[in-house]
Amino acid sequence: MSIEVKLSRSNRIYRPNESLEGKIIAKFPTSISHQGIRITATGNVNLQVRGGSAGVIESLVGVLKPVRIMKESVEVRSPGKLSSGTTEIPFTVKLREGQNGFDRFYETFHGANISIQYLVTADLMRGYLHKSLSATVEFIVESKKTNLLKKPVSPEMVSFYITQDTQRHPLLPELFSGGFRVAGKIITQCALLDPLNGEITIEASAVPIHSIDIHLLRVESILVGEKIVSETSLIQTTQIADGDICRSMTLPIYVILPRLLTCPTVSAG
Amino acid sequence: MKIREEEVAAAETREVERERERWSKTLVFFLVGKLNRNLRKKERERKMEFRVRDYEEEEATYSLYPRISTTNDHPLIICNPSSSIQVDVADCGKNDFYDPLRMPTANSEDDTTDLDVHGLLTITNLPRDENPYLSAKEWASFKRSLMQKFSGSKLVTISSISDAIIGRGKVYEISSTATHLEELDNPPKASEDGVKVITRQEFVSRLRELQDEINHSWKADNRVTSLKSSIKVARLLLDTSVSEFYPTLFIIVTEVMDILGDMVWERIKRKAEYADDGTRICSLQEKFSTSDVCSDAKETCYNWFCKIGSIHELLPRIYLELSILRCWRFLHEHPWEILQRVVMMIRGLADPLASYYCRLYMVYCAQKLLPPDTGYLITCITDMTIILRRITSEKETMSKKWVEDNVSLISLLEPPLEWTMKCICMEAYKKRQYDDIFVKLQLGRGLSNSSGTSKCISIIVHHFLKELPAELVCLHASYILQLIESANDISLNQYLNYRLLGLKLSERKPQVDYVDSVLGKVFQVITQYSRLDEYVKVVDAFLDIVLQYNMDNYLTIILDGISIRAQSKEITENELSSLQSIILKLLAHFNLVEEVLALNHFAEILHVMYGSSRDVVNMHILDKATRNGYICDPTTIQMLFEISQALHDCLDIFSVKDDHHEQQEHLISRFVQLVDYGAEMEHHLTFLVECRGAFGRISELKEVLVRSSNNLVMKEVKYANNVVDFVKSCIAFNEVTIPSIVSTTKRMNLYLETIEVALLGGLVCHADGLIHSAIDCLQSVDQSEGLILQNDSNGVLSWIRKLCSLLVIIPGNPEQGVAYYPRSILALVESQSWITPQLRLRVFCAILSLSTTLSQNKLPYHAYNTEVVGNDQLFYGDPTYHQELEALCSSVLPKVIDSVLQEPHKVIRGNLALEACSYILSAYKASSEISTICAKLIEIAKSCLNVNHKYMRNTVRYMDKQLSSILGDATTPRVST
Repeated sequence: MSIEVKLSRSNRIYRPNESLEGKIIAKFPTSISHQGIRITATGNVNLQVRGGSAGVIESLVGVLKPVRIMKESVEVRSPGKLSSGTTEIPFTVKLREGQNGFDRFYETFHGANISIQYLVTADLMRGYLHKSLSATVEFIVESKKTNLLKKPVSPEMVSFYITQDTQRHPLLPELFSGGFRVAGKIITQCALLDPLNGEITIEASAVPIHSIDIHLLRVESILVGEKIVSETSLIQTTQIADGDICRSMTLPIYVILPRLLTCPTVSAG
Repeated sequence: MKIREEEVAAAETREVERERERWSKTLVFFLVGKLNRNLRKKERERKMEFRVRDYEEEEATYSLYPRISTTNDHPLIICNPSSSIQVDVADCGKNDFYDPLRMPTANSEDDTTDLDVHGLLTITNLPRDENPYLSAKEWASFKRSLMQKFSGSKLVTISSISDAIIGRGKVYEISSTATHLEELDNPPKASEDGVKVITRQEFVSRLRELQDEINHSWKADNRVTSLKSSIKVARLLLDTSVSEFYPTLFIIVTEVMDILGDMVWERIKRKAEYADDGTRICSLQEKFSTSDVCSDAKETCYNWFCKIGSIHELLPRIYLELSILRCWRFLHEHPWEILQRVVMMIRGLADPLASYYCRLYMVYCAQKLLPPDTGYLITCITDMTIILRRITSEKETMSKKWVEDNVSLISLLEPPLEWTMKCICMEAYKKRQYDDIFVKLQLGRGLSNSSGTSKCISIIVHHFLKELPAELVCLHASYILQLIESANDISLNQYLNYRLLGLKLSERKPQVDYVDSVLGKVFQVITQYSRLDEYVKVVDAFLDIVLQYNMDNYLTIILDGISIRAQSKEITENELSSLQSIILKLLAHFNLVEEVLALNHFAEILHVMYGSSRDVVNMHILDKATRNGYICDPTTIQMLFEISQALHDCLDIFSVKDDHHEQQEHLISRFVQLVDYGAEMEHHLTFLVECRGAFGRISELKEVLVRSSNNLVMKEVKYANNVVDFVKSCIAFNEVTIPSIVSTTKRMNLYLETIEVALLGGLVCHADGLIHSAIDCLQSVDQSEGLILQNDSNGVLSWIRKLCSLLVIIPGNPEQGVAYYPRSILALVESQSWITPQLRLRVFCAILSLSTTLSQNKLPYHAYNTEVVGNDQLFYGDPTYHQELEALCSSVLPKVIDSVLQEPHKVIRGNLALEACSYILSAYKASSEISTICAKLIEIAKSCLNVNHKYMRNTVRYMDKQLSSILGDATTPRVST
């Protein structure tokens, strides 16, 4: 005895003003009667604390109720009976901007402290004697391309050097005396769908290299009064060298940005 | 073929054979007993009496013999010399141990090179195929050879990285806390506590389990789980401490990766071709473009790359991306552009082993993208070179241990290098751009700048050379020579490169002057080699060219060089196989074995060899020697004799391999057969005696010895006069030799042959003794052997008939009486239980015929040698002589009917009765007693056979005619037809 929600698109990405389409799949061993089947799409902005350690944002915001930014509800089946076996009930919910007092859609975002999440829930009401059945699925809202920044993002590369002198944190004495030099370049601006490109060359190192990792950091910030408060969290580490690699060999930096942990497009920020 | 050969060799014995042939014909003739028209006036006598016959006239009347007028017409005689040569040539091709594929090579290293050269041949011979990429089949065989090459240790030491294996598998020593700590700290790989030992088998079976898990979860739509398991599997390759096991690990892991890759590919392809509800949207062509793929499929595909992109560690990330590399085709119009990035990413793997094998997988996966250029491969090789240079150039720490470690590491790195080179050369072959490769691989750089860092790495030169087609090697030989010279490091011994160059050059025929300069340089280098092993390997490769261009000076240098280096020490297995190959090449090149044997130091080199190589070489020498007719030169004979002796001494060691064994025996026998001392027959006989002593284990040889000695007698009888002593010693030699032969058939044949030869030589005494031995020989046949002989009862019969025919000319011994031998024959057939009634009857008939013949006043034939006096002269008119014969026959006659009746088979019984009847009729004059016996026999025949049986009717008619003289007698039963 279960119901399940299946969306029409496998990637579950929908844009504002499109129709969220899908079907409710109900499987029952016997036929049951119900008091209506309803589909509800909701969107919430959460400011939450994750991971236990109290950060800046948490101290400022405290316990904040989720902010609802969207709610659409449609009855897809009026009270009646569902036969036994598998029943598929199609549904359509129009995602309209500027409805019900909500001004616009924000793109889905799963951050450490801030998240914007859209859910679609199917409810099957069965009166007081029986438990209602429900199923929830997340769907992803992505802005329309037209909402993107007008100018296409031009990849911009910057060169960088890392030596013992550029580092602020304390270094091993032999590393400090022997010295090292890492040169490279990396893109500073790119579309989130594109990988992060760059290259790095170990020109010299007094001690053997153990590993080279690229950390992808996420900065979340909110406006508190007149101040912008930011918090940085590590979302992905990508190893690009394992072991004491050859000197003067160029290594590529190639990181595919994780979609759910970042913004689908840049327009959210 | 064998029969033919023997015939050629035994040309001398033909005389004997012809003689024998004639006799037996005559014998058969009168045994069959045709009608004799010249019947004397019949006398009605009760007494049985032998019929009197005039053999000369009978022969003239009935013989077929004159029709075969000249001996040359005989169908079995070879008169056309060209045909016999043809036979020899065909024989060359057929003799199977000349097959180069069967040449045993003990050296594994050698093996692989040889195999690979073959492999290359097949590749270069490949027609211009549409798809020049190495096929899946080749990849499979490559994997197999890789597994075989590194199947050393049984136990695998695993560190904490291989969690996936340890997870549920049995481990001998588990310290969970230590493992846990390691995971937290990610410490260096082999911390003392975390090292576990697991057997190879378990490791593999655990991996297979994981593979099944991946499959199952995929089928259960749990694709994320299967991806996770795949990552676990890929992580196993992080641990390079397993060293020897790494290639096997690599193969298993990549198989798992391939499975995942295929599943992903199929899934996305399905997404692109079918809608969610299963209707077909489109079908993708073999070469589809990204625009054919629907966005949904693209999305899924991209999602896979995203998932894989989020793997933290570099190595599993690369492996997984490679496994689904093909899927870039859904997203990218030019998917091969990805390759350059992947190649560079692999640079991040610092461990040589991990990075080499990762490159191998990359090269393998990249083929599926059908990349249009080899840029990525070139980068690959360059990167590999840099790593190798790092390994080979650390000269300051040249401790022995260090070198050993690195050499074993390099042997592990070799297969990926080899495969990559193969791919490059394939591509270049496709586009005919070899010159380009020379430049791109920067192999030439080492030449201009021979000091220091950018020298060529010898192993890279090696594999490059190996993949280059031979034409190109010939074209650029001097350049390649420079390359080889400049590349001298621990990665691969330089001599192997020289060897390879030699092999490649001999595949094609380069120009003479060019070859000369190349050879000059090569020999300059190799004369410096002090180790025999290196020297012979290189020399072996160049020997073909040296022989082809008849560069005798180099041949002298080579043989000198080998003998100098071989003297000092023990010869190893590797060296042996090279020496073997060198000697075989020499043997194949020269026409006559004498030329080879006469080469400087040849005997010396032969002497340092031992074991199976020595045997193989010896066999080839013997084979060569016995190909060109008789061997007359005494020194050659002496040398070959020693070689045969060496071969013979090893026979019992190799007694397991019967096939091999037989061949050696046959070769030695051939050799002994072909030895010819010409007029020095005494020497020849001494040689035969020596052979008998030396090759006691070969039974085939004994036959040859007896035949040869008989040959000698024949020659002696033909050419010289005063020969008795020599002939005597030959016959005596045979008398001693024959009893040691195991097979009764052979022994009997040889006895009969020798009896004839003895008679030709006039040695009655010896012939007498030999007949005795022959009968003894038959007498000694026991039940079990008899059963075998029984199947060939014609054989036994013909021996006895032959004996009877010989008894016609052998003078009867006055002491023992003329009937002594016939009686012993009778005793023989009656005592042996294996003799069938049929055979017995025929023997009786033969004895009857013999007796009739002996009773004639003039015998049908006499001995060739006039010193042997016939019985007709010896016993002329002696009544006891005739009485003895008659007594013999009258004892035989009743037995005839008995043995006819003993025959169980009806039809045979009938025929036998008729046969016996004819014999008796032709042997005796007509008399009532005879007619009674004949009538009995006919009665038996009638009871067994059809009335209209032709043979019976003819026999009855014949009987009527013979007995017509006593027709009037009422007592004679009249047989109606």
